[in-house]
Amino acid sequence: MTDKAVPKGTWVQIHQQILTPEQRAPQVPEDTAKVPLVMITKGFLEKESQMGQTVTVRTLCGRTIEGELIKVLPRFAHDFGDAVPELLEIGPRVRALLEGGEI
Amino acid sequence: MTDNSYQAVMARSNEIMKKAIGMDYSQFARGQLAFDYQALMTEAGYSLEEVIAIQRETGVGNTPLYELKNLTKLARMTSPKGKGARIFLKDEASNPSGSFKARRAALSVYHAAKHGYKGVVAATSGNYGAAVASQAAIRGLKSIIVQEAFDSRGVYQPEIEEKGRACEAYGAEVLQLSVGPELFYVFLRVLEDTGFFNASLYTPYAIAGVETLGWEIVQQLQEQYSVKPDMVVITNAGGGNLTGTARGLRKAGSDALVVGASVDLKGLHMASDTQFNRKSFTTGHTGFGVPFSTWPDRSDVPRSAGRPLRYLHSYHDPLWVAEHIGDCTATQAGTQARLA
Repeated sequence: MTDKAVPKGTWVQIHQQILTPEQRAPQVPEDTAKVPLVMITKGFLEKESQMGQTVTVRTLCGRTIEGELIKVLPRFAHDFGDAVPELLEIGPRVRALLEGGEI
Repeated sequence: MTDNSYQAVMARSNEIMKKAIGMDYSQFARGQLAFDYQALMTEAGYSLEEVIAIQRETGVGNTPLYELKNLTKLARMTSPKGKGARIFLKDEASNPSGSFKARRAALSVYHAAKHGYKGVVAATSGNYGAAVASQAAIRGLKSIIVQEAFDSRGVYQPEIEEKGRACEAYGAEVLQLSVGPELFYVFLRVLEDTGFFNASLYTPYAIAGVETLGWEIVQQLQEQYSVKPDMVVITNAGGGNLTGTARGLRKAGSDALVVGASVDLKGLHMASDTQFNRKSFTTGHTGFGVPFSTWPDRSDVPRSAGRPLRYLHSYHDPLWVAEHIGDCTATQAGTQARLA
């Protein structure tokens, strides 16, 4: 993937450093102060580029933004976590109460 | 050339805000500390009737009100004899974009369009982004949503990632940032770069938009159940939901107790990179509720129109509410019958 050219007009994700750790606001906690402030956004690639290159994209709003090309057709990925046994118990117990059981 | 360093942009904050909201907040100042809150709210310039009409144009509001009969029954089973209120729910997920935030976005976006702004910008990681993007799409404005979305490992909070997807689906440009309060700096730079309207959650427009929620609660309880609310429990974070709903209740002639509820996240620092993903949700917690109640003007406008301390009767963790809701004395018709 890294050597393959990404065609102009492709929907991509870019990464940009906004502030270095040294430039961060004075009030941030210690752990946050150690890492840079970074921004990720998406847009249509302005010209054919390689992964990892600094590129320009046109966003859905029509603005142009520069950043490092990190993903092509980025996937939305999140899930809903593990099953929670405690919650599975609550339902039947509440239902039993409503049907005339004891507290 | 413009100096875009953190310090320089922050120093231009008031000037940027004036253009991006079209309002000079210094006119409300009364001396060194005080300001005229009622004058700020009057400046919004929309009556309750006008807000209702504007919201109806884009399908916002008039959400269903349900009686939670099972929860009422459960509360009465565990409460002292003669106590146990009837519990109702206002289903705000029935709004376009899925939350009460559509009420706030509706008025802000309408106002922006009316005053010739080409687009709107909002700093929000949750439902408000989707609400702004949705209302902007309906009214033909552009939108940019700035989210605090992931930690330094690149791990997203699931809810924020999902809202980012919704915003994009509505056609918004979504800027996702790592953890930190400097999001405000990026937000200011976007306002300056675009000349768009600051659709902040804390302008008088955003708060006036929620007044219809409190007003509807009173109207619907009367029409559907012939009762008046004794107490209204409202999720509290930045203070806008509570302030707007409380103002709407009062405008409808209700003297119901206004109780705030926030999930207790004591011990978590909201600007901490390593603690960011120890919570699985973005709002409705004390990380916003406590600082924004005690210092509302920490928000993204010079003076927040969300002032929960003006309206709060008391403020609790939801567990407290769950434990004590059965203690409320039922005063309305039809609630006397204690269940076996």
